[in-house]
Amino acid sequence: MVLNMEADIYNSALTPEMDQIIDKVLSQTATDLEFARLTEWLGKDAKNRRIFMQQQVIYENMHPAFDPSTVDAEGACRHVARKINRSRWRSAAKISIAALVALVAGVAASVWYFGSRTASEAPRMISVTSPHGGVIETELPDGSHVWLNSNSRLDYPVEFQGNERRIALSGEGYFEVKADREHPFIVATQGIEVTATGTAFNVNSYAGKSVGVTLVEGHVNVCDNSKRNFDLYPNEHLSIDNNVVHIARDESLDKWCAWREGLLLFDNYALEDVLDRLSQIYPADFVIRDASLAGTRCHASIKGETLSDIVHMLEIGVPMRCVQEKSDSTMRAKIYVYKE
Amino acid sequence: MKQNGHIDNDLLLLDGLRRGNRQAFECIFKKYYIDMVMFSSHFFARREDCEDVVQAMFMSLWEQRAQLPTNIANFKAYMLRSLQNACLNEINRLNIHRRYTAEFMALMSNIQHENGYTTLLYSELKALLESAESTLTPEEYETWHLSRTKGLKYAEIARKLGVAERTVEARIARVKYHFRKILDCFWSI
Repeated sequence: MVLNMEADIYNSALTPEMDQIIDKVLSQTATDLEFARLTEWLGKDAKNRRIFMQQQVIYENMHPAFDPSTVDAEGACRHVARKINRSRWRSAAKISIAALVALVAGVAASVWYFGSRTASEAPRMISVTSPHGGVIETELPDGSHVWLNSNSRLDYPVEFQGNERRIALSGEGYFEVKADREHPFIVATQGIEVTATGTAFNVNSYAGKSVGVTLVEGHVNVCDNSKRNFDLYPNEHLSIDNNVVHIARDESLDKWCAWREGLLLFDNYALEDVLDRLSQIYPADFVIRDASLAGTRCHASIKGETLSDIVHMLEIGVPMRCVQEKSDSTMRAKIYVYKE
Repeated sequence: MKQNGHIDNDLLLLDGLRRGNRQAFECIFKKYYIDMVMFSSHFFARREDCEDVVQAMFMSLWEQRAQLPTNIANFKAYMLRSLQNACLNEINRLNIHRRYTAEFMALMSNIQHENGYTTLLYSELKALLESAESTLTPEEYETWHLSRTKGLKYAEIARKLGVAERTVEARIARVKYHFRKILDCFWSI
């Protein structure tokens, strides 16, 4: 019975011997002679070539070079997406420098051209400024929400045109961006660009100070003024200080974003950092006269207090002594900090 | 092109890709990535090399999306051709581990070239052979499974099943015969 079964799967075209030779060639274990026998057999008939192709295909299925389940398509897709973003922003950065120059030159009434083929007329710009000690919320033309911390300013067009949604920030803003992968949302500030397609993130960029970007949800790409690119993922905080970039992971978001609730959280901050943060929000500049105070660790949670209340609190807590300089100008207070 | 949903889908994605739609690109990527990687394993032994060349191909696909021909009838075949070219270009690099000898590759390409066999994607072949498994007898299936999935040698299978090695050989030969019949339908001359 066995012989009969074998008879019908083998025939004059494919003998058991040839089957074995094919197997050996496919597994790369054939001798030169066997390889030559195969080539000769293949040359004889198109049917033989078909049988060989089929055996090869079956062999491939039986012995793949590696296990296909070890191939991570999702990860590879993310990797390629990042590469595409990087190459894209490199060319976009050149355009943004020109745009920022325009902003500096004409602050009062700036007219932006978005470089889109369809835009025939430059859109009107809207400027939103937040007062000292106040947090305001506004909605952008695309439905995105922005919270502005005190003493901050946002410039954006009355209507987004072209391929990008571009806005300019001075100060601190928290952005909840409406998802739109085809029109990246770009926050331009102090020569740096933060690009997002649909995320929630915080940008801290008061003029002349270091820049901080905190990502809450989604993904952003940060391009600094040296055209270096950084990708941020949730709970990461990127800071740029004098061109030095640092990314902290697993960051507490409250630390950076609590200002939205009118809350200032200082969790183990150095005093000089606390005073820096205060001077962003309140019209006051602090000068620490006793250097030993600068690194004192502070824990404070401040909600809606006036500047003098906060200073008083710090004086007791640190402890320290503050002296305000008498000044003609009422723009910003100058406060000297001494040891108690 | 309303022959079947599969072709329609590809053409829609292709159209999106041409217009620079990132989601369309990523759909195409995730749909074909593993099969493309398995295809390049005909050339390269290491998974990293296969993934590298496939990712580079997708990058080029994105970068040249505006120049994609508008009359692509079979996107799968188009991508396989691009990938094959990319693999052939890469194969001569010094630190690439080849899968097969150059001699063998020449043999394969001659046959494919003259007969025009449509290349089966790894996933397509897997589906085909799995459907063929339903035509096997329980003994054939069991023997095949031990060889294919467990990677056991014929002698080991014989021991495990308590049969002669010759019986194992005969069963495997029969299984391959069934598979060839299935492929005959797929590759009808």
